[in-house]
Amino acid sequence: MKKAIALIAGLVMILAGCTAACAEEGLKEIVFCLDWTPNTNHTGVYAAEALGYYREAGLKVTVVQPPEDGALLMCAAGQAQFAVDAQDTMAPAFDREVPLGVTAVAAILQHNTSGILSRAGDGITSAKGLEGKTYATWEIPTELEMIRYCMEKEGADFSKVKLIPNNITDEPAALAAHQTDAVWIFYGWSGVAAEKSGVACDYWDFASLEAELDYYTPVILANNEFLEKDPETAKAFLAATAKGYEYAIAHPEEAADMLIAGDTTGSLRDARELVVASQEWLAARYKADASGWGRFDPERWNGFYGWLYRNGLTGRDLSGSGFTNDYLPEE
Amino acid sequence: MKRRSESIRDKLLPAGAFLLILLIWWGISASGWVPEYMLPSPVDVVKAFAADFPNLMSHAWVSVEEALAGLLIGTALAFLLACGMDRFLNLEKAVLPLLVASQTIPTIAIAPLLVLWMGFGVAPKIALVVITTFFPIAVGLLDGFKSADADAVALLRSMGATRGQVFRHVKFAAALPYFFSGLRISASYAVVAAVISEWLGGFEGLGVYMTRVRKAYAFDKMFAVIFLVVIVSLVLMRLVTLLRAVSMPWARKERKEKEV
Repeated sequence: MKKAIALIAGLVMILAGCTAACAEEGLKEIVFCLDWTPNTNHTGVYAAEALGYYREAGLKVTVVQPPEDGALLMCAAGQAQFAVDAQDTMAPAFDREVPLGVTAVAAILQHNTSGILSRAGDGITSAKGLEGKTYATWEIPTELEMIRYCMEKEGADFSKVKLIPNNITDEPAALAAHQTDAVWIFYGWSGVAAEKSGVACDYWDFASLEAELDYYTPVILANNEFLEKDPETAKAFLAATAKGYEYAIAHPEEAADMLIAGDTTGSLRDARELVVASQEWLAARYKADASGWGRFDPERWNGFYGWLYRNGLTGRDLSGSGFTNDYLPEE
Repeated sequence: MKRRSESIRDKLLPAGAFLLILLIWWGISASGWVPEYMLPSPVDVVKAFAADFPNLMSHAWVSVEEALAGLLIGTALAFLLACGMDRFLNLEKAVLPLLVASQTIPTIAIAPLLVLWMGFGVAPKIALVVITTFFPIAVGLLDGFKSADADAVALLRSMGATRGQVFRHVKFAAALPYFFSGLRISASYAVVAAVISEWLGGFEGLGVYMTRVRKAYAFDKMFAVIFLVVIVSLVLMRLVTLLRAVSMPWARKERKEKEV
């Protein structure tokens, strides 16, 4: 009994100590909502946390995971100040009478590194190769239209693609098991995994087939009300995050270990080799050809939203809306 | 005369409560306290329902088919298992704890596995409905068999009735009310189970529709489909009540006699 009381008293003291300490330091609380389980797209945030960049900037950052497809909504509702999403999946949030109150404030990767993975030898080395093949789809209108568009551009018939629902988690394994002939992947994770898996694969990406499909995925978005009320905190967060990504660019292996250590889900612990390989692949692509990490090229952003509108995927022309470079550190 | 006014009152009360909630909801949305993406106005929901009606119906039909097929198979399985457990005590001892434990498996965890095992067709969806619906019926039936009047069983035995005859004339009749209570619960779960299974992949059904409108941030449509699931489930439960009245005419008669 005495022990229990001592234990409880100790816990209370620790808790009280933390609250007091946190309050003393005057750290601003930031909630950052991921788009999925922690992965190498998020490394900069974990590195910034591990290296104390956030604390130095006066921030206490809590990383949370969203309910399915819910990151943007959590951010719009003000439950998170920042969230991860992508330019394509954000479009419906702006394409409505009252757009949801979020804005993309930083590009995590400069270019669209997603494309179609298939078994080597099946001839799906370009969009037209999908004719007569099975494709595992998420059934998102934009996804299907992009494939249709690329196929037609190469003179192929989209209606000859056999569509099956995509609930694949291990793409190379699914291809090897002939679950599907082709599947959409994000190269930084699944492409690197395919290289390591030993399954011989072919891959082509959308950005190389059509410049307008080189959109931003993933991006960090922020709650509009928060941006308006507290722009300084928003800038401080993005400056520290940018430093985290710069670190990940310069030190892929160390950054990978920080991601693994910071991942409270433990899903990466047994995949260190893949995390490091993915990190090394992404290091050159976080910033790529941009003048600074996170910067949007308005022409490229608007190019994709113009494409969506011209192809009937949005009811409004969203060009010019939904993003800003104003909160990124000065060049 | 008194009875009739009571029955009118019984219907007016829930209808009034429903209208009141609807009014409060409408007031909250109209005042702009809550943004439309957190709670769309009931007017928008009704509009979305009307505008998307044919589409909703074709998806609803798929889900209802899965729910009915699952409910039917679940009932048959439950009946067989309950009879077996009633006949062989050792079977009951062995299986019942497992059945109870099986009910604690989260649906959301087992659904992706079912898709993995059975593919993208309707099979995993029906399987999930079977898993969720058969337990209340099986347990209800088993309790029902046990509730049979021991004296009546003994009497029939003494008159040389076979096990089958005892079952048909005493146990089965005694178990019917329990069976229908279980079936009512299962019917209320069936559509929801079908919808959940459709979240995990497929091209048709209310669950697929839900996933689509969620990705499009179409909240009015999301609420419209939620209401549709509620309505379909209520209709299914109502059908069970009707079925009960048809299969057990004596129950109505007994109740009337008691009331008089």
